[in-house]
Amino acid sequence: MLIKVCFFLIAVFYASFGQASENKKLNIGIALHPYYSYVANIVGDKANIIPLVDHGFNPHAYQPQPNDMLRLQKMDAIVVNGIGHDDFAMKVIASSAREDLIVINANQDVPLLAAMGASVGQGAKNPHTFVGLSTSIQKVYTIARALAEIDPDNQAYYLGNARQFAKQMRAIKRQAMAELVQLDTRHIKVATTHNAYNYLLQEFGIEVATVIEPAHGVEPSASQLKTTIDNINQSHINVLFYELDMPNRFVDTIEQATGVQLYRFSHMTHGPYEKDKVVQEMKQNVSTLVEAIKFAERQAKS
Amino acid sequence: MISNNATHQAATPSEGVTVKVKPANGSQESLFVGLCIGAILLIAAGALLFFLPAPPAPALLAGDIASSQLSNGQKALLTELNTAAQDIQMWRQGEERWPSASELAQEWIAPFNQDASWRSRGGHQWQHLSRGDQQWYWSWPTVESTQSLAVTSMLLQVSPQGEWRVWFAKSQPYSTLSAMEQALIYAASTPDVTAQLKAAGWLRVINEDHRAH
Repeated sequence: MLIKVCFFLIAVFYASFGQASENKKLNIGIALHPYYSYVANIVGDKANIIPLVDHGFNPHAYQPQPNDMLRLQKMDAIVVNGIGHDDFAMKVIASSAREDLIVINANQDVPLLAAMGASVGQGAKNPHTFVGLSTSIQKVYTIARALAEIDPDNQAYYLGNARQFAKQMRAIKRQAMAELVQLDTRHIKVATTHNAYNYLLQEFGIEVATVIEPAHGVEPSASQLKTTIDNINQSHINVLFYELDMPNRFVDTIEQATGVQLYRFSHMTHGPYEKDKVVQEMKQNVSTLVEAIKFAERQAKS
Repeated sequence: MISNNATHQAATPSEGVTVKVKPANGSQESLFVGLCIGAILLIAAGALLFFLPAPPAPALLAGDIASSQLSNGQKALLTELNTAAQDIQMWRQGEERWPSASELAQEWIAPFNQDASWRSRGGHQWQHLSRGDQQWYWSWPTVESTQSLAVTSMLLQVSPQGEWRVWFAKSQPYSTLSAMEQALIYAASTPDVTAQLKAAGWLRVINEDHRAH
């Protein structure tokens, strides 16, 4: 009988301890897919991650819902893009009156590129820092440092994980560079549908000649499309990058009118929230880029 | 049938009943509309004041260059140097020593590692100099750059307090590698290192704050 009571008390003690440990975990919110992956790589099982919105939404057109506010109330901190790709989240945060909520601006240390497009406003910045290797590393470092300040007991763990993430990103670039060692990237002339790929392309010394969308998320008009086709033909642009998983009705028109070679990049914003999404899809993006550079090299030599 | 109890008070010629009747010319409605317009204008003026753009950032000092003024290629280089600085500090925290330039290259930390982009930027040779509590990682180009970077040399200044500074040289400030090293050693020993570097033609990169709010 005494032994049974002891076991019961021990079970109650560990259950209480487990509950207390669970209660000590931070609740960290995210607004966009890639940031789930960043935070998951940093915190492992030391914190809970709460997406503000269920996966499957379009960040360009999403309108905040009451349920978003309910989720926000559970968060101790939230990681945001903060430079134009998650304005819906900024509205929810502003409406919440949560003075205690820690907002981690993941892009605060990233030198931002200017937005490109016929109708972008002066001073507009390119918010697609998540489609970039070095910029992703910088953001993970920024997030890890911020979380280490909030949760100093896990500082070494968070920073160590951030460095491991950086190693994975660098390994991707290393593999790509090994394939490009004899190639000259000056042969490739690039157009993109979406003003989203400059951060990645710049790391490989590639400039974007033309962006087809006049502004973020805006399709070109018929006259703008004609101007773009003329530009592509006159500039001898040989590669067009566009977005995977998104309908681009005008891409086929451009291909037929110019003969430009098409390649697709993932924005890492579709499908379930997964820890390895950024690494896996970035690997695919870089592989696509290498293929495009090789195509441009072959075309230059032929 | 009129009740016998009904009474009628007839006005006598000496008593007047005055009833003021406002003219039906819409003056009351006009006043109400005017007050509403005034209230809307006041609220709008207050909202405009609230949403005024932030005051401009303080002017840069001579010898400084804002990150927003850099070209896209230079910004990519700046991102690599910023992350490298953080790697250097984490390395020191973990290993209790500063890494050498070759160790950073072996970890494939850009821009120290030697890959295709390294060659197209100028094939920079990196050195590490330790003076006082400051660590200097500086570079010298070995081949002509095929990118239009307009950056010949780079300098990464790292302190043990968690701060760092990136310097760019658009034209080569020194004639030889050893001259550059000697100048750097001298500058690092003076009280005003910043002034010495700027006088030699280095541009200090200022990271601009672009927080959302």
